[in-house]
Amino acid sequence: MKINKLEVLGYGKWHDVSFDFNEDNLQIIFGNNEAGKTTLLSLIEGILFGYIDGRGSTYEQYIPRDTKSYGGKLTITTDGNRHFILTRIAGTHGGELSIYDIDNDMQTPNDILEKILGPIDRDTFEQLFYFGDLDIKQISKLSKNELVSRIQKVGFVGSDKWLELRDKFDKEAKELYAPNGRKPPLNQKLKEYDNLLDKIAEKKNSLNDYNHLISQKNVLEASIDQAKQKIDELEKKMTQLNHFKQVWPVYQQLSSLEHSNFKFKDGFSDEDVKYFNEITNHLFLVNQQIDSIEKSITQLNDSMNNDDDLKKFNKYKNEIDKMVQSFSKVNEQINQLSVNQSMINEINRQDSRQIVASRDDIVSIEEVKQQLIGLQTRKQKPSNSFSIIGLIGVVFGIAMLTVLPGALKVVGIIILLLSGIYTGSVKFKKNDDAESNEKRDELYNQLINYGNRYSFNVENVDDWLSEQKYLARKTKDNNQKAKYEEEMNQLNEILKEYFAEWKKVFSGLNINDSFDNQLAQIRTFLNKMNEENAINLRNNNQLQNYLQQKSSLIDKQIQYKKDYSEFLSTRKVDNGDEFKEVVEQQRNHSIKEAQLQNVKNQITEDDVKVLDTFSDITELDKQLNATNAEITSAKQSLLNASQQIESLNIQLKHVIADGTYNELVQKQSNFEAEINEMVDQWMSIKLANSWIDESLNIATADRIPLFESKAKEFFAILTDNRYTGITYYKSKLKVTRDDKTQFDAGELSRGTLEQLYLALILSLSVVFGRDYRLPLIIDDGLTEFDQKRTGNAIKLLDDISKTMQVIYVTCDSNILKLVDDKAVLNLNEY
Amino acid sequence: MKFIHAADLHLESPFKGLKNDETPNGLWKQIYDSTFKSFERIVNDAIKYDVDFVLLAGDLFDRDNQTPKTYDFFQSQMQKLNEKNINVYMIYGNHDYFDMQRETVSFPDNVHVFGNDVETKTFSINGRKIAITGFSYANKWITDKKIDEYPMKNDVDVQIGMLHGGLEQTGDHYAPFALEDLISKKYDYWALGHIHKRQQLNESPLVFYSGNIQGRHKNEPGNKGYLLVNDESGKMEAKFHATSLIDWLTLDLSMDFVDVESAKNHILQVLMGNKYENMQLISLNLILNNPISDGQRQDLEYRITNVLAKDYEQLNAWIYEINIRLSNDQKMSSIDQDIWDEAQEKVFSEDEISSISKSLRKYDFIARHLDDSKEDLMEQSKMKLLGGKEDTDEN
Repeated sequence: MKINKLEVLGYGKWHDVSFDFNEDNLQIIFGNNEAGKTTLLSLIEGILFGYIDGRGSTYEQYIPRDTKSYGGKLTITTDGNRHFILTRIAGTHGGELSIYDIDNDMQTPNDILEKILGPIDRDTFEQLFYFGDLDIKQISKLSKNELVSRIQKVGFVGSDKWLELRDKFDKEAKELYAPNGRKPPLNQKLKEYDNLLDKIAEKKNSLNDYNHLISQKNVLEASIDQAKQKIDELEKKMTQLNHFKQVWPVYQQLSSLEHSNFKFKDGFSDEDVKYFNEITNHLFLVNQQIDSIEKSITQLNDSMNNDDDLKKFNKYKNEIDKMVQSFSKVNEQINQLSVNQSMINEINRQDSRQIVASRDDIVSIEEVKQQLIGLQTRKQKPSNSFSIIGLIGVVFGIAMLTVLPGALKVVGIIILLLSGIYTGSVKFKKNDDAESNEKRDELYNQLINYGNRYSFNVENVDDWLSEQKYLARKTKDNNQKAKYEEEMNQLNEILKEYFAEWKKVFSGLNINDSFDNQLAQIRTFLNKMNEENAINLRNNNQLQNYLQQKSSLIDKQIQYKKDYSEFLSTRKVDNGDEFKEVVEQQRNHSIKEAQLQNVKNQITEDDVKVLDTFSDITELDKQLNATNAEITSAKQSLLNASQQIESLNIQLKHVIADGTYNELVQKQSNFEAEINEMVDQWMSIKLANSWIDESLNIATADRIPLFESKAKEFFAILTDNRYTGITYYKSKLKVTRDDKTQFDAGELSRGTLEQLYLALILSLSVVFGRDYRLPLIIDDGLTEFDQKRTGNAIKLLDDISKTMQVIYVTCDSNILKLVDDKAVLNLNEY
Repeated sequence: MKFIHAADLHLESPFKGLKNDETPNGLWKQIYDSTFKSFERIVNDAIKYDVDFVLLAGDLFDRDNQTPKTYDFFQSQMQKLNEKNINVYMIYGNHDYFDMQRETVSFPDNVHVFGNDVETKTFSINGRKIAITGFSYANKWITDKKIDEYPMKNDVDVQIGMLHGGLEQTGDHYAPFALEDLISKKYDYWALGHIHKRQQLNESPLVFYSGNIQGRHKNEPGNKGYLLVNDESGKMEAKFHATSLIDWLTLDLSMDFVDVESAKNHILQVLMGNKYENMQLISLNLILNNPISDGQRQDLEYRITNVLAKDYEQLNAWIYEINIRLSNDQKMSSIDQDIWDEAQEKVFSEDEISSISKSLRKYDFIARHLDDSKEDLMEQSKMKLLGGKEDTDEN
């Protein structure tokens, strides 16, 4: 392909300008710096392969600022001698391309371009046909060794770029991982991984811990079970022992009870006892009754009057009765005696002071008195008026006794006596009739008047009257006194005799006492004796009674005694106590029997059998204590084990809850993923490099021989035929000097190396460009060459241009001298 | 008769492939709890559906990663079933192998563990005689054909086989068996464990892997749970019940990459549109038509992580990794593709990868990962080269 014309629509500094290229294949584009040379080269490449869009791309700088149109046209002639105009303006995907077929004067489909370019894409073009400013210059920056190695790989298209990439990758790979390094991230990551594995291994022990804890726990649980069982057994034993201890007294009782061999006899039952008690009671009662009766009898006997007086009294009963019959006569005699005495005394007194009333007065007083009595007898006199008269008499008598001196007292006594007699014998009658009352009062007053006159009391009027009679008689008989005295003596004698008689039967009679008193004594004595006799009679009756009772009681007693002894004899005991003793014995035995039964109920035969093995309670106690101690210690060990299990459980919980291992293992897996990613990264870099190396090796080994002759030719031109050969053998490039000396590339001078490099890359372009001849573009590649070498280079380019278009861009004006003017496109002129 | 068939609980086993720094804490909590929660759901369902018994066909724990918490949890769940008088028949698998002669562990009375030799446990349900045959691993590996020791169905109404192992053709050493071996025993149901992917091997009798109960990495995708087996219709039927809390998902997404922000928005749109019901841990395969640089890739990852850290619960989605690859028509070079291809074959060989990663391979997990990652590494390298070249072009 040859470029004939470049029209710029708008690209960088250029717009609406067209450049006609040399008809020959050598085209020099000359221009000062900033003249727009590279811009034009970029446009050519852009039209052929498309503009590169996207930010930061080199094409951006070429988008014109002031025109609407962007792009250009390229008029070309193909190797097949066909003519096209390639127009590429702004658009997506590298710009909008249109192709005009000049030969057929028509637009043609864009795929014609692919046919023209063949397999050459932008990369290949740049590597094979485009030697930009930087590429050549870079060569000069390379060290000699690097240059040599670059030269070695020249056989591969774009080798410099691949090598550059490889170098970059090498660096990246080293930054990521170094097999013997420590700092790169992958090395560090691996180190961390190793540490993690250590940690995991360490943590793995937690499972061992767990298993250990579990087995410990199992052991403890087994021991707890054992301990529990043991405690159970011991407690059972304990319960049993406690039971034994409890029943020990029972057991003891049992053994003591069981040893007695007792035979019960008949006749000692409670019934018997009851009967016995009844008999005993009866007997006792009878005895007591007998005793009591005997006592009563004795008492009665004791209380019987049996004195001498009474004996005498009863002995002389008849005589005494006779004497008693004389009592009234004796009494009269005694009265007579006292009357006589009184008479004597009266006579003696009256001799001095006794007033003697007139006969008339006495008759009239008697009359009044008779009238009064008459009145009173007509009407029954109430007892009170009688009492009043009696009372008045007594009062008057007593008053006289106290008031009157000496002899007058006798009068008082008499009054008293009279009033007493009156009271005893006389009864007044009282008339309630007012008339009779009146008369009586009148009579009474007359009597009182008489009384006052003769100093007598109305009541004692009779006494007074008898006194007056007596006084009258006395007066008549002056011898009366002696007569009285005589009588008295007689009486005294009679009475003394009488009482002497009494003295015989009543020894206690005090004969010196007055007759009255003696008589009174006798009366008392008689009463007493009579009474005693009456009592004795009564007692005797009682005694007879008692004796009768006693005899019947004794009959009973005999019967009871008989029963009693019969009762005892049938039971073959001697006495009641013995019976009671037997009863007591039997009773005790039946209590014991009951106890024994009771005891037997409290204890089983098995218990007894076991208890028989204990010698005594202390042995039992000993066992109890020992068992108790065992239980305590078993419980303690159980408690200990439980506590240990508790703590084990806590530890287990801790171990179980510890998710660290889990996390660490996951972390390990993550690390592996991360490491593998880094490994992939590193490996892909390393492999990419190997791939590049291998590709280059293949390329150089396979291809250098292909363009060896061309390279030899070019190298000779560049070196003025100093070097005549290039050989490639065993990955080594050697050159032959005109003197046939062979050199390794490394042995060449730098300048010569650069020439070799140029020869190689240009020969590569020529050889590979043979089939797809695109213009070879060199952008200021020879600036480092001296004039002679530049001349040789231009000569070479001219030589190459015989087969393909060569576009050389330069700002070196010296070059213009080396070529035809028509080959030069001077940009300075635009 | 109604029972639950579950297996491969792998209680407390870690999730693989997640990165620590980026995953939100709340999600971690869910992840930590997920195996437990899933199993708890199974136990709760057992109670809810009033099943007659529960079969656990091995790998209940990861023996290498078990903790007291796991034991305690499992015990408490067994106790829960015990209180409801639900029996559990369990075997140990290659991950929780248990040598009964040397070790002891005690469970509640309702738990019946099969010994290291094949044994049959017989019981009655509603007058029907049920037999369950199984065995527990004593070691990590069992190469014997243990299936040969299983008795023929004999004199029972229903016989169930429990077996933890793999089909012979898979070539592993986990009590290998052939499907015909199982069928020949004339059992009514085979409750298999070991394979984490739920699958039915046979229709009559039913032979099932119930799969694991909670996916733990990208190769255990989709919902997980247990099988509720029921013969009340007169025919043995197994119905899957999902209990997993978190599901793993690999999501392929092709797109033109214009810039990072619009790529992020597009991805979020897709997640939103999918309306996930369960929490999804997503490995996103982003297939681009043009290369992007490392910087852009990282930027995209950061932006997505930042959005999801806030919204993952709402979206029920967490993208834990983004694999960016180029669509197949992307070439390294137009001219030298043959050389690149030739070199690629040489470079991405096991030898070469091993040699480069030599210093890293002492880590098992890296070696294992690399052995599985050839394609990924190639894609990544390609992206690096193309993306990197573009970067240098612009300079």
